[in-house]
Amino acid sequence: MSMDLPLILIASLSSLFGSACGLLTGLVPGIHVNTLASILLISYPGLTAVLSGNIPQEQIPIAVCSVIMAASVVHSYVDFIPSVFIGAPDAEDAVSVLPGHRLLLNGQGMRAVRAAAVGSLIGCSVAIVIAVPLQMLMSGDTYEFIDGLTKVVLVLVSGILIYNEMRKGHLVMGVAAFVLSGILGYAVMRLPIPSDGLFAEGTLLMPMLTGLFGLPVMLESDVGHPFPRQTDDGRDPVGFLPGLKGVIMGVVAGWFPGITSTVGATVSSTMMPDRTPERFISTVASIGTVTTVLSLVTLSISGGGRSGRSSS
Amino acid sequence: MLIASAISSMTGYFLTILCGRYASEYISRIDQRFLNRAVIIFLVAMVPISTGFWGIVILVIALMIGYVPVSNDMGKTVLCGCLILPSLLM
Repeated sequence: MSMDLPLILIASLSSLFGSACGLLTGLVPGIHVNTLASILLISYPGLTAVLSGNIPQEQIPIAVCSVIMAASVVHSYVDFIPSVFIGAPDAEDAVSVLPGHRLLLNGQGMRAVRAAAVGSLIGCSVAIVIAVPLQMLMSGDTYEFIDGLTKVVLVLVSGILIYNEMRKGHLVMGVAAFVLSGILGYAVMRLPIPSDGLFAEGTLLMPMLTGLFGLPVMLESDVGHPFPRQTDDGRDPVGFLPGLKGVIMGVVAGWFPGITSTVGATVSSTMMPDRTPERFISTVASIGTVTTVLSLVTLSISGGGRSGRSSS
Repeated sequence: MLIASAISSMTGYFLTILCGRYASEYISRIDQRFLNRAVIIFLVAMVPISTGFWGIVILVIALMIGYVPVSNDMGKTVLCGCLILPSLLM
């Protein structure tokens, strides 16, 4: 495959612009990267008009794709910052809010941030290497076979989540919470509930995830003392193993609908327990980034997306 | 796409560490209760702004369900049923 310099330059500049967008969407709680993708899609004609004088017409889709890709990747890195320092969850990292926030309360917020950054870096690096071969492997009969397994995998994962609660003596309440949240999720995703905000149509996933994962933690931790002074030894607290573990679950999470990085991390921590909160955080971050990269590369090759952002 | 991933991966790593350092530096100067309440107000205000009346209804129902694990000292991962069950029933 030959690629001339201007194309690389266009992809690089678009990536830097996308990185800036991803930084913004990642740092502000409540803004999902899918929102950014929607805005870019809506503004596509405008972007084309602006870019058409400066770059060849056929390279405009590449520039826009690079922006979306870079924004998604950077978002999957930095969205951990509000999770740790503010306690605001995202669909991708809802369960790592608590261990991250706990480290912060012990003055070790930077250990959580470094663990997440290393996990994402390893996840992204491996995902880039395996994306194309994996896509080739998953085409044709393999796709049909794996797609057929979706429901089995989802039932298995549900069983693992409930088994986790049963071990702690919370079988009835565990099942109740699982079913009730499931009914709410079904209503939000499948029923035609209007979600018109002041400026545009939003996603009801945001209030659902905020109510389920974010607000209860924040309302419970409403105490008056200041945060302890944070220390940073500048070292990687986790190594590469949690990141690699995240790659395995990230491939699964990227393929099967309903298995977010959060669920993937829970399953992986049940089957291969993480010894420290830092390692758990690193695994969750890796899964999130792997899912992001693979879903967008899958789209670019097959033309069909498995997540909101790739569908955009 | 892969070039964009590679570039953004490196920038993402350094931006995360950089933002983390800034946040670590400033967080100890902020009162936890003040920040907590500011974020709660921000998130609750964002709901009607981005999703309207039905967003508030969903938020209230989700909050009640979200309190089940908190008040029973359980893990929150069972709440991921909100994403798994719809996919199962699809």
